[in-house]
Amino acid sequence: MNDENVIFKAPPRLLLGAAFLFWGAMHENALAALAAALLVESRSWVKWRWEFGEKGFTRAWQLSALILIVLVARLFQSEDHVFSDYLHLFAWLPFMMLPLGLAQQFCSDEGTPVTTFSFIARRKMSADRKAGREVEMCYMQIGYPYFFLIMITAGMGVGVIVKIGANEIRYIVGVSILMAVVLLHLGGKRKRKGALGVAYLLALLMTAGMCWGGILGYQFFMTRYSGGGPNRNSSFESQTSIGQVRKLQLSPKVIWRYRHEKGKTPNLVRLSSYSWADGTSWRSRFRLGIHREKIAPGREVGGDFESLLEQEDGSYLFQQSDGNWSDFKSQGVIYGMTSDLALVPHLYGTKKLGGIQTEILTSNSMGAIQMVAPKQKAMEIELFADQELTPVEHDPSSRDLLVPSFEIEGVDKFLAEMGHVGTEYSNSAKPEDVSEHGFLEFREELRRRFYEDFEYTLFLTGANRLKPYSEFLNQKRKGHCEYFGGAATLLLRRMGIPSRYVVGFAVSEQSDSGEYLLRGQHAHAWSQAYVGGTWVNEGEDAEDPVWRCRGGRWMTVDLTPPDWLGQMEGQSWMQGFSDWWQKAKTNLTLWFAKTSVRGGFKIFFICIGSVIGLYFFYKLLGIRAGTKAGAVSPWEERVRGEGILRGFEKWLGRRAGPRPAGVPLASWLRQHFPDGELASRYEEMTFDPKKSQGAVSLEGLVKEAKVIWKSRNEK
Amino acid sequence: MLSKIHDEKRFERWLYRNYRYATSVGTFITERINPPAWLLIGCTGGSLILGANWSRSIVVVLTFLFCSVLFVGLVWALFRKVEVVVVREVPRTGAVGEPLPYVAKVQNLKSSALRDLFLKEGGNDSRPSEWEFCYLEEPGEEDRNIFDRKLAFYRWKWLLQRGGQWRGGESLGVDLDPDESKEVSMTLFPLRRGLIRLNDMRAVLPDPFGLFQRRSAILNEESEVLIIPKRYRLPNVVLDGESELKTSGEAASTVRGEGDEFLGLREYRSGDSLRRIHWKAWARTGRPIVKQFEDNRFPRYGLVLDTSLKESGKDHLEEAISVAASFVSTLDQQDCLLDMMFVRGESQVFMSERGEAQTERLMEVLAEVQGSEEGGYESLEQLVLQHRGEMAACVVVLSGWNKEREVFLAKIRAAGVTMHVYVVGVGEQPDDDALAEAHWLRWDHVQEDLLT
Repeated sequence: MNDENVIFKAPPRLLLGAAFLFWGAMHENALAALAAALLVESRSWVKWRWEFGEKGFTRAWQLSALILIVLVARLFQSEDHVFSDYLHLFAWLPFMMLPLGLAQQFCSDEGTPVTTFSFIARRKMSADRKAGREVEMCYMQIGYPYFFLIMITAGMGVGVIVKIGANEIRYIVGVSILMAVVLLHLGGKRKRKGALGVAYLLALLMTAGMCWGGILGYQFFMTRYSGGGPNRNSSFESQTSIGQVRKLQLSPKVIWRYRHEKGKTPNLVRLSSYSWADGTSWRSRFRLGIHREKIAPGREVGGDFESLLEQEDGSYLFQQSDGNWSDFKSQGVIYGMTSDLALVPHLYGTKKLGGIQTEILTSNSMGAIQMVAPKQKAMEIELFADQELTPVEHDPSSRDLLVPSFEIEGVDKFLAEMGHVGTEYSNSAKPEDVSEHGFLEFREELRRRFYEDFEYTLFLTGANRLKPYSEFLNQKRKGHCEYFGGAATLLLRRMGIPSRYVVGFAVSEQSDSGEYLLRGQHAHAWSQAYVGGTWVNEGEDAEDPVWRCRGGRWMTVDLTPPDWLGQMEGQSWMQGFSDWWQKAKTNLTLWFAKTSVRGGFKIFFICIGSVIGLYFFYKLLGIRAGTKAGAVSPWEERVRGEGILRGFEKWLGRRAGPRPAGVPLASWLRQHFPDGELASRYEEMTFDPKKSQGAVSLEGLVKEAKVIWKSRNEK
Repeated sequence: MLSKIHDEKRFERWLYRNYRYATSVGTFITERINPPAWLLIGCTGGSLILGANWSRSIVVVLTFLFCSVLFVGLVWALFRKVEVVVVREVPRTGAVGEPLPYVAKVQNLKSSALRDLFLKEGGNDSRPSEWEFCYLEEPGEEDRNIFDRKLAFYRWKWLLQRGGQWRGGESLGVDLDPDESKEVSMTLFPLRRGLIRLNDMRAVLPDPFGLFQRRSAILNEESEVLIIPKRYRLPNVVLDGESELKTSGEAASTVRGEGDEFLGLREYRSGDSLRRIHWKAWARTGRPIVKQFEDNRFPRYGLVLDTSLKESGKDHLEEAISVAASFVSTLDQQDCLLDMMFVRGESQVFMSERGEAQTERLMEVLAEVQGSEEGGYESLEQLVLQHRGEMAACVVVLSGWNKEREVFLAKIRAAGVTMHVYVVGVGEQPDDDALAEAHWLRWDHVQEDLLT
C-alpha cells in the first residue's frame, strides 16, 4: 500500500482513548467507556497486527452494520418507541462500530479500503479484477472519522443548549480541548502553533456567538411556532378529546387483560376522569388556583400528579390510613404491555396497587393512575379496591358544575324538551344540594330518552367543534360513546349535580381461561356523578367562597345504548392468532422481567460472549501476521539484545575459557560438545526460527549440556 | 478528422464536454480544499442530523465549532497574499519513471515575512483530447456493462490516469523573511518522454488548520526539461557478428576499452561506474559528478527502430522506443558505437553517434520520436543495407507485426546482416516462422520478456 493512497494519517496516541473517556463522562457510563478506551489504545501496548485485507475489513464493517441494524430493528419492533429512544440508541454508535475501529487499530496496513463501505463499489472492483482491468485501490485511515463519531455521540441525549448546566459545560470544555488537539495533528502539513492558536481562538469566539444566537433563535421559534412556551401542555396534564376513544375502538387489539379475583365483577374499568370541558376536549384541572389541594411534601411529581406511598410489601397506597386495611372487597390483576406515561385501567375505589417492582406509579386528583418511566415493557399490577374507603379522586368543587358558555343554550334547550330548567351556577351563591333520589330519577329519565331518541354509531357525525354536545343533543342525535358521556356530564351539571367525564374500558369479553380481554374495541367513555353530598364553603375569605361538595359518593352514569358493544365488527380468524401472540409476548416479557430470570440470562450471555470472545482471540492468535513492518518480535528483540545462548556462553566461558575472537558460537559449542545437538539447534533457531521447535527445547539442551560438562569434569 | 467526430459522436462529445467541465471544477475544488476540510464538512452534516433535537442534545455546540473552524480557515486562506519570484535550476534531461530532482530559488519581494509557503508546479493538464475520448477505448471496455460502456465514465478515468506529463512538483513548506531568498528542493516524476515546459509555478498558501489553501500564480522563469524514454534492464547483451570490430571515425581498435583522453565532467547517471566518480567535483557541487573520457576503441552496431503505427498503437510504439532506449543505454556502457536508424516524417534519418558524450544526444532524439502512419520500410531497408558493411550486428526493434515488417526483415536477413530482432506485440507470440529467431515482447510485460 502506497502512503499516498491513504487518506488521513492515524490519530496521535491516546486520542481515541481520551475521546471514549469523554463519552463515558458525558453519558455517565465510565465502565463501558474505559473498556473501549483500553481496547483501542492497546494498539500502542501490544505489537500484534493482522493483515485483514479487503475481506477482513468488509466483515468488520458488516458486523458493525449488523449490530446497528439489529438494535434499530429491535427498537422499531417495540410498539411504544419514541424519538428519544433512537437518540439514546445512536449515542452508542461508537460501540457498535467498535469491530471496524478495532480492525483499523490492529491491522498491519495503514488504512481501510474505501470500498469497504459500498457494496456496489466492491462488486465493481470484483468485476474489474475478473476482467483483468487494473483496479486502483484507495484507503482511508478511519481513526479521525471514528474520533469525530465519538465526539458527536458524546453529546447525544445529554444536555440542552438553552439551559447551560454542569453537563453542558463539561461537553463544551471537552470538545474544545479535544478539537484543539485534533486540529494540531489533522492534515499532516507542518503547522505554526502561534497562528493555529489565534485561529482557534477566533473559532471559539465565533462558536460562542453562534451558540448565543442559536439559543435566542431556538427560544423564539419554540415560543412562536412550536406551541411551546408557558401555554404548552405538559405531559403531566391529562386531557382527551372526542375521537381518541373512537380511534381506539377501531382496533380489535388486546391492550390489557384483566383477571378478577374477588368481589363483584365490574362492568367498567376506569383510566381517568376529566373535569374541564373545552370544545371537543376534556381536561383535568382540579387543582388550579384556589381549588388546588395541597400535595404532601415530596410527593408532587408534576402537574396534577403525585407519587404514591410505598409499602414494605412492595405495594403502593394512596393514603397512609389505608395501610392497615386488609379486607378489600374487590381484587383483580391487570396486565399487558405498557409504556412511559401510560394510564393504568383500574377499578372504582382502587386504593392499593401491588406486584410492581419499581417506584413508577403516580396518581392525580381525578383518580388516574399513571406509570412514569417504567423499566420494563410489560406490567402485571394487582388492584385492591373498596368503595367504603375514601376515594382516590378528590371530592368535587363548584368547577364540576361548570358548563362551557357556548354549550349552555343547547343543553338548556334539551333540558327544556324534557321539562327541566337548567341551573345557572354562581360562584358567590352556595350550589343547591341534590338528593340521591332526585339524581336517580333524573338519570333514569335521561337513560330512557337517550335509548329511545338517540342512535349509537361509530361514524363521526359532529361537525361543530365549538358546540359539539349541543349539536349532538338537538340536531344529530347520534354518535359514539364520547358524545353520550360528554353530553350526560353537561346535562347533570346543568341540573346542579357535580359530575365528570370518564374514559376507560368496558369489561365484557371473557376468554376461555376466564380472564377479561380489554381490546381497543372496548374503550369507552361515560360520566360519573357525585351523589348525596353537601356543599360547604372551604374558602378562607367569605367574600370569595370555595365551594366543595362533601359526604357523598361517586356513581356511574353510562347513557350509551347498551347495544354499542354488539355493533363491533366480528373477530377475524387472524385475530385469534394475534391475541395468542400478544399474550405470549406479554407473558414472555413479564417472565423475562423477573429478577431471577434476567440474572440467569445475563450470566448465560456473559458465558456465551466469553466463549465466543476467547474463540475469536484464539483464532486471531493463529492467523497473526506477525509484527508491523520494521518492528521486531519479542523473540527477535531478545536475540538481538543478548543472543540466544548469551547466558550459557558466559557460563561455559567461565569454565572453558572465553570464546576466541572470530570463532562463531556454533563452532565453539561443537568443539566442546561434539556429540550434542546444542550447536545445531542454536543455528536452526538463529537462521531458521520457523523451523525450530522453540526456546524451551533449547533450554532443555542447555541443561543437558551443563550436566554433560559437569559429569565430564567430575570424571 | 474533427468534422468526422462532429458528425458521428454527438453523444460522446456531449459527454466529453461535461466530463471535462466537471473535472476542471473538481480539480479547482480539490486543489483548494484539503481532505481534513471534507472530513469536517461531513462531520458538520452528521452532527446536524444526529444532534437535530436541541431539547435533548448538546451536539449543536460541536456543529457550531465545526462551522466556525471551517469559516475561520476559509477566510484566513482567502486573505493570504504572496509576492515572490521563482527561478528554477532544472537538469537538461530526465527519464520516464525516474525522479527528476531540481532546485527552485524563491525570493520574497514583500516587506513582510512570509510563512508556510508551499510551491507547486502547475500546467500539467491530464484531461484527454476530444479525439482521444471519442476513439480510444479503455482496455477491457467491451466487457463492461452497457451502462458503463454508454456513459464511458471509466474510459474517462482511464484517460485521466494516463494523461499528463508528470506527477509531483511540490515543495515542502518555506518561511521567508522580507526580501529573503531561499533554495527549495522539488522533484518531478515524469510519466512520458518528450519536452516538459515548466512555466506555471503556483504558491500554495494554507490556513493554520490546514483545511483550505489559496493558490496564487507567481512570477517564474520558464524552464525546459527533455524527458528521455523509459529504459528496461537488459540481460547480458552479447551482440555477435561477422565484423566484430570496426573502425569508427578517428579511433579504431580491435580491443574494447576506454581511451585515456579526458573529455570533461557530467552529472552521474544510473548505471555509471563508481570508478568514474569525480569526488572533488561532487564535494564542490553537492551532486554526484562523473568523469568523461574520449572513447577510441569501439565495435559498431546498428539500432533500427520501427516507428510505424500500422497494426500497432501508441502504447506499442512507446514500448518499442523504451526498448531501443534500453539498448542505447546498455551498449553505451559496453563501450561500442551505435548507429540508430529510423524514419521520421518523410525523410530518412540516420544517426551515427559514438561515445558517452553522444549518448545523451541519442536519448534526446528518442525522446522526440513520433510515430508515423506510413511504414517507410523500403527507405529503412535501403538505409540498413547501405551501412551493413560498417556494422558488426544490427538490433531491430519492431513496434508490431504484419506482412510489411516480415518482408522488411526477410530482405535484411537475405543481405547477410546479423540481426537481433525484438518485436513488441499483443499476447503470446504468433505461430510464424519469420519470428522463429525474434524476441517476442508482450507490450504489457516487456521487462519480464526481455529477461527471459
